[in-house]
Amino acid sequence: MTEVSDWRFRRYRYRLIGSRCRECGETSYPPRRRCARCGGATEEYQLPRRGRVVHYTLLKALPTRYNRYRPYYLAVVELSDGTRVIGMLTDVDEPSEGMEVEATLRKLYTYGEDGKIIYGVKFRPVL
Amino acid sequence: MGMPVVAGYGFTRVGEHWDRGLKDLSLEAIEKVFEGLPSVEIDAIYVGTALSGFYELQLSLASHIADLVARFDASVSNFEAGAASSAQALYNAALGIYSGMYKAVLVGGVEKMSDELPAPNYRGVSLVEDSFLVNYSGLTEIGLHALLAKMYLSEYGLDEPLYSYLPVNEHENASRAGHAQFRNRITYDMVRSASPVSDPLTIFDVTAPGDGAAYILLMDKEYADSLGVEYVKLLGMGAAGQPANLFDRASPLFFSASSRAVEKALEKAGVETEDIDLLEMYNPSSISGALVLESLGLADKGGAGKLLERGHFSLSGELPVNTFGGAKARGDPKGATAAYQLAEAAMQLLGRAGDNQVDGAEYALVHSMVGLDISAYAFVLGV
Repeated sequence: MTEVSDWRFRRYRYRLIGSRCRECGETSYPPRRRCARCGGATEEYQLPRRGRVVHYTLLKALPTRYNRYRPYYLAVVELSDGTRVIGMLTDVDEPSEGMEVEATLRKLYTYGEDGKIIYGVKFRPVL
Repeated sequence: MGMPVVAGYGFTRVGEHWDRGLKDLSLEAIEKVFEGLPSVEIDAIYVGTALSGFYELQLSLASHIADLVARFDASVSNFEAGAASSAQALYNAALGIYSGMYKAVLVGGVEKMSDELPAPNYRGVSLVEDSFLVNYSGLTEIGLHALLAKMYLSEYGLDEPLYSYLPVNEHENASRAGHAQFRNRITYDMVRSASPVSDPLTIFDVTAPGDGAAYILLMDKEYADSLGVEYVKLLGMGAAGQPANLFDRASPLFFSASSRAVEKALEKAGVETEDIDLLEMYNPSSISGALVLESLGLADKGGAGKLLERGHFSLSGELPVNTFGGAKARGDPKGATAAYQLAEAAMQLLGRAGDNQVDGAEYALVHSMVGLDISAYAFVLGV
């Protein structure tokens, strides 16, 4: 991804905007243009910020851009409307299954020391 | 209509070939393909590579492979689809033969993964998954497999990750395979107590980066007969897909693309699952292997581990799987992986598998997939 595609995806990165099918109501994150279940057209949909950790793993095999966070917890989070998403956990020493979390805007990576800082959604324990 | 047959194969040892590049490895493999064959006219060269543009900054690889072997009359095509790159190449090469347009196609793949450090590699091999998730949600291929393992253990109420018997079996098979990357025998306890890469998966549950090249000579049966070469038949093939996002799927634990691709290939071949003598499947982790076996109906849901523990899928078992070690132990040089699988299946059917021979093998099933079953390919080979 270049800085341009980072910019293009900014809404979905910053605000946990997913999609909802106009036909069957199926929700997805990241957003889809056509529903995977019924093929219907979708619309943008603001996902709820709160949810709970369903599964998590301490990831040591991580990509270059995230080396500074090595290791980090990657989790399946079920949001309060039932949508399941994958995301990084932050501000947590030891997560647990069922732990209440909320989406928060955090630094993801930077383009070099003086370069642009890319922010995105991570999940932290509910304060 | 043409009838594709595998009339030759060649590959390098999988490993860390520091002193050799994409072209060196390809040349060694291609020369082995033609060893002992009469002069063959090649209509096309189809090359798969997952990341040649990433490791060696070489794109349009098929053009350069044609240049390498000075086959300038051949049409060339490139295929990029992770570990299924050369499966895609083979699928399309076979279409060329079925159509009657081609009499012989050189098809294979190559990868040079040791050129990169672990972190760029983890990112590189993860890019077959949705790039939004990889770049902004922190997902990697191994992390995704680990979360899937958690879902699996919880869904089926399993305390023990018995799917880790799969790498034990794969290392056992590779211990007698000269071309395998990892020939050491391991035990279940060694897998479980190895250093975690993303819990519950350890370094022995997942594949490692490797360099390698493997090529196949796919020919029309009539042409092969006229040259008097030995071959195995490509009896059927199939392909299917499903959503990349696990949570856009009906069930994250069912690999519907693999299931459907295999169903199509068996139907085309007119072969039943029970007729299959060996399976070469693609599983970049132990858990994904268990899910492939379960999704193909070869094990009950949640039950693959128990069958693996009992030796059901070992060389002397009911259905030998990954007879030369599979991606875990033979090695997983992504773009070349499916071509290795094809070559190994052909060796079994031709009775050239040496110490790893499955006696009397008549039908082999080869399975390949992009990422976690986003797209899948299946081939049925027969004598």
